[in-house]
Amino acid sequence: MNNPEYNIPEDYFAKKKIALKQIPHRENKVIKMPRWHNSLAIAASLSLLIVAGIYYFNYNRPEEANLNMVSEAALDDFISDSPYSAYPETFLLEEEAIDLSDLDSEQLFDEEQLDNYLNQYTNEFL
Amino acid sequence: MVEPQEWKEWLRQKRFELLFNALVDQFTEPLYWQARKLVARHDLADDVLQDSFISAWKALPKFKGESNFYTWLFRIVCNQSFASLKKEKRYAKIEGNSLAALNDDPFFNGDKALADLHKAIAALPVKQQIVFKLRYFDEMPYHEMSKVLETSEGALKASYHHAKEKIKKSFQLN
Repeated sequence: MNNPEYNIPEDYFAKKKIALKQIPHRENKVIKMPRWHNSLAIAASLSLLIVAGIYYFNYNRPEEANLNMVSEAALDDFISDSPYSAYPETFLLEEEAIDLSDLDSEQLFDEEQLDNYLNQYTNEFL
Repeated sequence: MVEPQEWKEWLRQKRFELLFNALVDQFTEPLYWQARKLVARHDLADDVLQDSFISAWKALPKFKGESNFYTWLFRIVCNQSFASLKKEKRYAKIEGNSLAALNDDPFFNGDKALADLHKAIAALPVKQQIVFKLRYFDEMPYHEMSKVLETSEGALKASYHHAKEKIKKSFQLN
């Protein structure tokens, strides 16, 4: 083709053809994955990220005390050894303060008031 | 251009490398000159040629052989030239008109008038540039251009007309 306005380097076409014929060898090294493989790779990466994220947050979360962390035996020992017994309200009272010998119900409750109270509330449960 | 019958046989037999080498031997020169007319500078035409053959190699297994091989390759060269010109136009906006560099191209022998013409063409929208160059430099018939660029003949004629008017105006202004 005669193009006097445009020159080319010497032996350009001979060299270019050799270079172009290398394309199949060079380009074959890149294997394009099919589209569904791409989706699979993305899904796998996302799953991995989610699992890693969950593990990371659980691992780094400060431990909260709960009953599951204390063995039952240790709990029993604590309750029996401590002043907190089955009746925890009693631990603040000295033994002498609890004197039930002179407890007389007639002194404690006015009979009329007791009757009124019972009449009023027992009816509600009938 | 009559193409050897065995090429389509090789395509059916999936002997792609053999076919590709035959295409390189046969069409490197004409495709280079087409690219050179479209992008003007040797370095750009060289890149267009290289990228076109890479695209052709990748697309060869999908090519059905409906058109002949040259038309198919020429279409790839036009698309690559289109991309190259678009890139140059973007670059020119940043750096000033890069086709002014045509005068500095050691492989450009044209006179000032041709350099000015290229400069005026470079100011056109890229699609108009391609149409104008194919028509003006190659005298390519519209029906052939229509196959290559996959555009209607009417649109191509209008595009060429607009391009010609803009170039005329550009020369009148200068």
